[in-house]
Amino acid sequence: MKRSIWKHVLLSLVFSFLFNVGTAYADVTLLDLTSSNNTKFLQRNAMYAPETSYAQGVCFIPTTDYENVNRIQMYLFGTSTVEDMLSQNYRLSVQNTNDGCRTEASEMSYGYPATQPTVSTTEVFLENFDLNQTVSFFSGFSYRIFIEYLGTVSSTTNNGFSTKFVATRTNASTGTNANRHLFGLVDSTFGTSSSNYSAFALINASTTNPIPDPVFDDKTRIIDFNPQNGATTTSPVTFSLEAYVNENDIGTVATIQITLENIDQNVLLLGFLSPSQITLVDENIETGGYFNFSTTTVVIGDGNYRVEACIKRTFFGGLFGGFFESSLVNLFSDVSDCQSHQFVVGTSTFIGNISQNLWGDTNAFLEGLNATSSEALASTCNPLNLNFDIRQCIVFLTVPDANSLAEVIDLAREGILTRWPWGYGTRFIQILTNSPTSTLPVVVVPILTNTGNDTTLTFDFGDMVAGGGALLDSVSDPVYGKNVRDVFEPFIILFISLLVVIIIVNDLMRIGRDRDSKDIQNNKYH
Amino acid sequence: MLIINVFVLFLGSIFIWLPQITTLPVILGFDIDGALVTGVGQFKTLATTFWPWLYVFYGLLVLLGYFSIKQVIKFFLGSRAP
Repeated sequence: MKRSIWKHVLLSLVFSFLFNVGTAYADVTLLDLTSSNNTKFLQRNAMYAPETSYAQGVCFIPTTDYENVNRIQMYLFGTSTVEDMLSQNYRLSVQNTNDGCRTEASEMSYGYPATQPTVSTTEVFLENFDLNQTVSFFSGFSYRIFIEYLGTVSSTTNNGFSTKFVATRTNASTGTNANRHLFGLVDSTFGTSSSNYSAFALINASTTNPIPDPVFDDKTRIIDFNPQNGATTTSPVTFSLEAYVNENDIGTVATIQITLENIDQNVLLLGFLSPSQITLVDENIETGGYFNFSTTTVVIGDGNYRVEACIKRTFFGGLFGGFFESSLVNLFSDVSDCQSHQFVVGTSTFIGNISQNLWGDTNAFLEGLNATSSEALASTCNPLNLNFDIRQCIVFLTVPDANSLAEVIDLAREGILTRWPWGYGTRFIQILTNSPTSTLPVVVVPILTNTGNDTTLTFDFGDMVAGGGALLDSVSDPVYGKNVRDVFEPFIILFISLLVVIIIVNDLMRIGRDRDSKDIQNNKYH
Repeated sequence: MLIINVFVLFLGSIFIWLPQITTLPVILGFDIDGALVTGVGQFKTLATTFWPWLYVFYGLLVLLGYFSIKQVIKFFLGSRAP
């Protein structure tokens, strides 16, 4: 009976481990640029670079409904002049793409500069585009906003301004999109101190129906990384990544990794000679906010490549020299965002293209699936229905939808894991994994003297420990310039790793012995 | 997915009569929950400012994971566990 109770307690603890994904979100912080009820800046987190190469511009996926917008204001932040904006030969277009800006769609509205732009050498350039008809942006849909240049492009050089603004004007000689000045990675550093970025604001004239505040997505995630999916580039290749990290996720080890993999025949032929994956970036996060992580330029041969960027929280990062970093992920955390891009360096290869296309098609297919109801599922699996698709049916039946899974986990946590008595175990693990850092106690000791000059001694443990830690980092060896941490950290890691391995091996070696000795004691073999 | 949902709902309906626990109890005026939150928070502060502790903490977590897995195997296999 006693053993049975322990089994249940243990089981509840295990389930708590597996399902505890609770993360408190920080308060919403809007950018300072917000000016009035009728003007709302599109938040950085709602704007994405379109995935396909054709769909240049900004893919805007609102998290709030924005209704009756009749003017879009474009802000460009930079220290250069705005030569290209002197004419009014610009046109802003809004499309409802409804598929994450993967395909072209019909135009909802358009507008031209409301006033003649003037030369600006200031850091902020502003232009209003009055739309020919009001538009509404609804959450859950995707919209593409882009600027077209209607004049003649005289050169392919960057005439100043924001480099990101003119980055796509490179096809002037071939005529393809030659007259388009489009946003590439527009606004890619919006919210940081970078001097070159751009933003859009939505404006309406209604005082009774103002544009609502945008919902701030403060989830730790990858915003964008390069090279872009489907890009063709030349060696050396520059890898960069932008991410947002929620402050509440700081404290456990958040790791950002970029790994590169060759996916053409070189892998088939020479894969056994060299590692198939190369880790380009592997950094821990120590503060919250927007990040542009290390840009690494790597010389690689021609062929097809896949680069994967992952942001995840793991307790075991770095302990065993990277071996466990990717394998032991912290199960308590819902911080997990991995995205892959495939690109070509120089000339692609036959097998590489097959690999790239197959992978791309499969992912696009899986991402496009969203079984929102049992009705959708039924129609997909019904051979008499026009929506019948055996591939979708199989996926719907076997792969849980991410949103539904999250709901079930929430349901399990609220309805089962937090119930008495195992709820105490759940709460205990929640505290271990999600509690914020708190300051160390300060001890104040009063010293009473006979002379009447009483005084106090204050022991601030936080200062002491911080001082100790800083001391280990600051005292350096005069010859090699290494501090105490540089010298001893590898030994401490080695010592603890060995200790852990010895304990585990020792325990494993004892498993069979215990059973045999017990069985012998119970005369099981006689 | 539907089956998992139904399973969770079924389990939830079984346990619905049990009180929901959001914090650890206060025993004889001692707030265990608050003490643990503060204690763990202080440990995290300690670990981030005095880095050697961090590796000790990692080591303990690896051991905790190992023994948890072992207990799960024992729970499911019972006497057949190695």
